[in-house]
Amino acid sequence: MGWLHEWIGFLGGLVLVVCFTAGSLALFDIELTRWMQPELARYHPAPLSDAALDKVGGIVAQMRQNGRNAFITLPTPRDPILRVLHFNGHAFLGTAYSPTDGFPVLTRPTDGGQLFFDLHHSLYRGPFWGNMVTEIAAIGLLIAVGSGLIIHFRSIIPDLLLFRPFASRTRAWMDAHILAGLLFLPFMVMMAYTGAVIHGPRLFPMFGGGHHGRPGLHRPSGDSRATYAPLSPMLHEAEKIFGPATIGLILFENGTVSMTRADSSSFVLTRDHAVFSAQDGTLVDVVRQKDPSRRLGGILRGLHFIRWAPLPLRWLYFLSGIAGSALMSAGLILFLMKHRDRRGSRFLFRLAETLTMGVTTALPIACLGYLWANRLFWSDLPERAHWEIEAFFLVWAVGLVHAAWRSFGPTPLRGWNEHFVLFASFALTVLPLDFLTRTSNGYLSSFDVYKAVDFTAFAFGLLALFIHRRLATS
Amino acid sequence: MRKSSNNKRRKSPVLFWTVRLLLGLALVYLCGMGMLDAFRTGHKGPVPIAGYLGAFAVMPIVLLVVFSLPALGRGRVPALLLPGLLPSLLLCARIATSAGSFLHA
Amino acid sequence: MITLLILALSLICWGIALGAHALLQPKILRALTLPAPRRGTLRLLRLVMPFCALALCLQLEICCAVLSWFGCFSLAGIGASATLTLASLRQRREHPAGTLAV
Repeated sequence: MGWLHEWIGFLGGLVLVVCFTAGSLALFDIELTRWMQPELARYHPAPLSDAALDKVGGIVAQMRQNGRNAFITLPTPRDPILRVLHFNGHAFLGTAYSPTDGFPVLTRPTDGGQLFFDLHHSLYRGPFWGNMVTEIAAIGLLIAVGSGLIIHFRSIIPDLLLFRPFASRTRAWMDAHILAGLLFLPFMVMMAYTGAVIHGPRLFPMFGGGHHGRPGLHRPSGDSRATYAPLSPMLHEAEKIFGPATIGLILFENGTVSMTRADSSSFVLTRDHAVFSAQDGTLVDVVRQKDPSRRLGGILRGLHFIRWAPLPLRWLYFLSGIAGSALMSAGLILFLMKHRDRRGSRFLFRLAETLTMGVTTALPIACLGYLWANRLFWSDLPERAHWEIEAFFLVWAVGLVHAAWRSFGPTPLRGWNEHFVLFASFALTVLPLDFLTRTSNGYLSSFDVYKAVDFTAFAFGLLALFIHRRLATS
Repeated sequence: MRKSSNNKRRKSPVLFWTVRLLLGLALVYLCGMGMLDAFRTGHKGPVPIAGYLGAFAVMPIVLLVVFSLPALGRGRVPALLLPGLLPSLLLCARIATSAGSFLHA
Repeated sequence: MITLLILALSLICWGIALGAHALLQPKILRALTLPAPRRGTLRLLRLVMPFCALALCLQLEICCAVLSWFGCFSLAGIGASATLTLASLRQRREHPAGTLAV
């Protein structure tokens, strides 16, 4: 069982650390997108007006006539702005509009937090192979958790909170690994199981249901209509059916307009919707998911995506996700510690150390590099969103090359240390970066999404600095 | 002391565990497939859902059971078994398909 | 705001329960060189506090309550473990190895 835990844990862990880190960030994808559009900082939330919605409906009609499969997201407390979006193969991009008058708000194009969502569920290699790898890794996590429980079965209760940092280094890492593994066991099992089940059809395509990936890049709108009936009466009617402020999406297809419930409106993520005729705005159908399998899917998605939850619960998920990532990183490090004495000079061991550094320390640096690139690239750079993504992967690749250089050299520990220094310097300076590259009145007067990101990065920077000092003195 | 550590090493060769893992994974996939098929065929309502949910719980458990079984013989799987791995997997798949057809009938 | 308050209180309840559980384990006391406390009160706290946390969490919606309860368990465990480790470090500083009878 130890062998199984070790190898499944290591091979799966390399993927799972990426999934957990990116997934934790994806919990705040909307907030990160807002941080990456600092132009919105000057905008004050306002209620949606009928005129604005109807005006934006006209813009969507034009876009769809030009073959772009656009749709509308309505303002929510998390993102109080009207957006017209389309899918680019990885993320939903588009223009922001003021909900009061429907005029466009000039924002920089960016994939924002959706990069992390894509990285989480498909390693940016969707919709098939990447998703398949993460699906297998999720099953691997269940196996690793099960084997870990069997290995430590007798000491689960008595050693629940045992952590001995003053013992030998291996013992301390093992304690940290077991401590996090036991305490976050409910979260890990729930996330691995719901993740595996949600994308299960991908693993068993012979039973139908397709691969459940996102639609491809080129999906014709199939709509030649130049105008739509006004959207605001449809919205009011849909709100009468589903309740006030529950509609989040307006989708367009085959001469119809669907007023779809927001993912945040209920625990069960079912996407119930009211269908209206695009020509005259009459109600055609009300679709409520009553099929048990679809409702069950909605429950599992609700548990996994947690879009319905209040902010404190999402923070709990975020911290649990980061703890999960740290737990698996500790597991990877233990694997290296175990094999360093006997196999430390072998090529495969050095490769394993390179990959471990690549996912545990280089990835967080790349995430910060992404935020930095967003603020440092000029706003009207052509293909800006694309270049931000390129910057993310470039920083990650450079981190990996540096990890390889150190791992294959005589001083691998220096590689870890340098990564922590780099991470700390990137993270601690996010706050001044935000201050310098965002024009906002009253920076110190309120606590908003921008400062939340700044201070979270700052806290992680302090943690990295602490680890760096410990590594330097040990 | 030396004898005991040698014995220990002999009992857990990488090849033995790798073969067990590969066979276990094949069995896991077949079990998942079989369970989905058995619960879907001829059933409606909550039964296929239970099968679907159960399959993903059973899959890791099957591998853990496979790894809990005591080692075969002296703890070695001869390298000659490796070439026979693929035919064995195909045979397992065939048996599972036949079982599925039987359940359909 | 009320959610935040409930979560904070639930965290404290779980922290006390888990701390009490840890102090009841001879192995943890030995490893962390902590003095043996009174067991009766600790047993009571270990038993009652998780239910207090549950009662607090149930003030929220049921799904939110269950997730919060488990989430608080995890985070409070980290907090309790960190507190015990700090206490142990202080104990070691005050009573170097071998001078404390447990």
